Amino acid sequence: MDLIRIGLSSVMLAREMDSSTGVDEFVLRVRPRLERALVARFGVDDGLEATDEAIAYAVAHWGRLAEMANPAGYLFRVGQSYGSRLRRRSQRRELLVDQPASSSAPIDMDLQRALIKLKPEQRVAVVLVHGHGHSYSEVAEILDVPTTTVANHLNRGLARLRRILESS
Amino acid sequence: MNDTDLLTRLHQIGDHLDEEAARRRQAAPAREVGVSATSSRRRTSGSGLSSKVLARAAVVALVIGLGVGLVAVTVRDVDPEPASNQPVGTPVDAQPSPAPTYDGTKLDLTLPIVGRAWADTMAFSLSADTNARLYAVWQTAMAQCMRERGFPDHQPVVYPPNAPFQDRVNPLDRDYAEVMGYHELPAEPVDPNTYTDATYAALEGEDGCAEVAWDSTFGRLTYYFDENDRLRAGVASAITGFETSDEGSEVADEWSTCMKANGRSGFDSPSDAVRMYADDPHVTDDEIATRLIDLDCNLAVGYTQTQHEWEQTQLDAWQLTEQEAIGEAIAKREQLELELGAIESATYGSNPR
Repeated sequence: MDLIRIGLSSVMLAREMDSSTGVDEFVLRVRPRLERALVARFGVDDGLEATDEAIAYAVAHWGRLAEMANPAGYLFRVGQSYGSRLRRRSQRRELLVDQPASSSAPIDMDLQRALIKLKPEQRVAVVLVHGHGHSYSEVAEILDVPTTTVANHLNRGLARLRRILESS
Repeated sequence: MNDTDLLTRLHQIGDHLDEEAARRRQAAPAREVGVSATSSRRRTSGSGLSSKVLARAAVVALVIGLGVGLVAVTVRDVDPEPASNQPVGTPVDAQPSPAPTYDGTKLDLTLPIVGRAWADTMAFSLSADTNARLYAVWQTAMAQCMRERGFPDHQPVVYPPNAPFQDRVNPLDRDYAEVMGYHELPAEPVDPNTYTDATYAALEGEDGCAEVAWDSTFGRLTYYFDENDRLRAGVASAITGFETSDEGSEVADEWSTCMKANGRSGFDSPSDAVRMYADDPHVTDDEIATRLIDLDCNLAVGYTQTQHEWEQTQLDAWQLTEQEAIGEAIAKREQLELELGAIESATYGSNPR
């Protein structure tokens, strides 16, 4: 129903761009983690686009965002919302990433297929912590949950990954 | 498999994801760095059309609803450097239909509201009719502009009849489940136009028709959409968390047990089933069978009803905190509805749609 609304928001974001105090620093700090989280959530294609949209939102609404307790977590939700919409419009994506052209190492398709079967928040936690080496607290900030919840996602996610991989 | 093996494999996947993300960013510099990426979306005077299309693809896909935007995305996938004046991309309706269709007017809207459906039921949201009128006047303005710039065959993209219903599919709608399984209601606009570099330049270039039509249609309505956008995000945020709530976890466990008892193991919650089937290009018999077992289990354990009540409670609390803003947004919606008539007159003139 919100075809128009979405279009409007994006254009207004693009038109309201204003580099206010602090936003550059915030973007530099949060962007790598936000991008990795959204790529883990939606795959490389949609994840990058969702990251751009979330960052655009941060720039356009920095005044409001700066007052939030956890702007990084809010931005992840912005990216999630956009990514979900992209996903609804696209064909099925079974993998997070195809074989990278720049890498000679073969990509682990079995593990990718298993990761896709995890709950999104479990997948994001597992990929950020064990794929990229982020701390529990860094992941907690992005997911906007307590670190105990991150630990919970990790434990359940890893247990499920093992089950899936062993049965495949 | 031991833990060390699994962790090593996860680390390698992390490296692959970083590598590929970096490669894509290098290929599409507009996405490069946060603030400069967003600023670059505003620049329309680039050196090459293809890079412009790339740079603006994310915005364009949304600005034009889905019609032209989808074609822009198709172009990126098909050929990043198309030959000048050669048709690029394919009209959306030429793609094979990935799933069965369903008439959105047949949805059961009396079932307990959950999830994305809440936002459309809010008094500050635009009605289906208003959205359709806005979309029509916007597309008409774009086509008129294109005609004036030497593209006499450019046609308005028609508002998809299912668009008002896309967020209203209910997990308990059995008729829908029997046809569509876990798939979303298709509501993609059908774009009758074909696109060349010249078309894109007229549409998306500096002071292009997309921008001209945008300004003439929505330029004076931003007062409504700014606040509406914030409130809709608030609704989404307020109802987030059911699955991890105590009530949600409990009813999901009951649902999962019911599914298992009916031969469908491995699903911790209904969203697991959605993830497994919803993006498949086809609706399979297995999907329909699982969906119907899911629906029966949902009814047996009261999953959707529990979700509805939980979300209603969260929304009630949110609405109390936003009471004043919601009242103002309703007034702005009414003002927009009044102004729309004038915008339509200016666009259609003596040629009513």
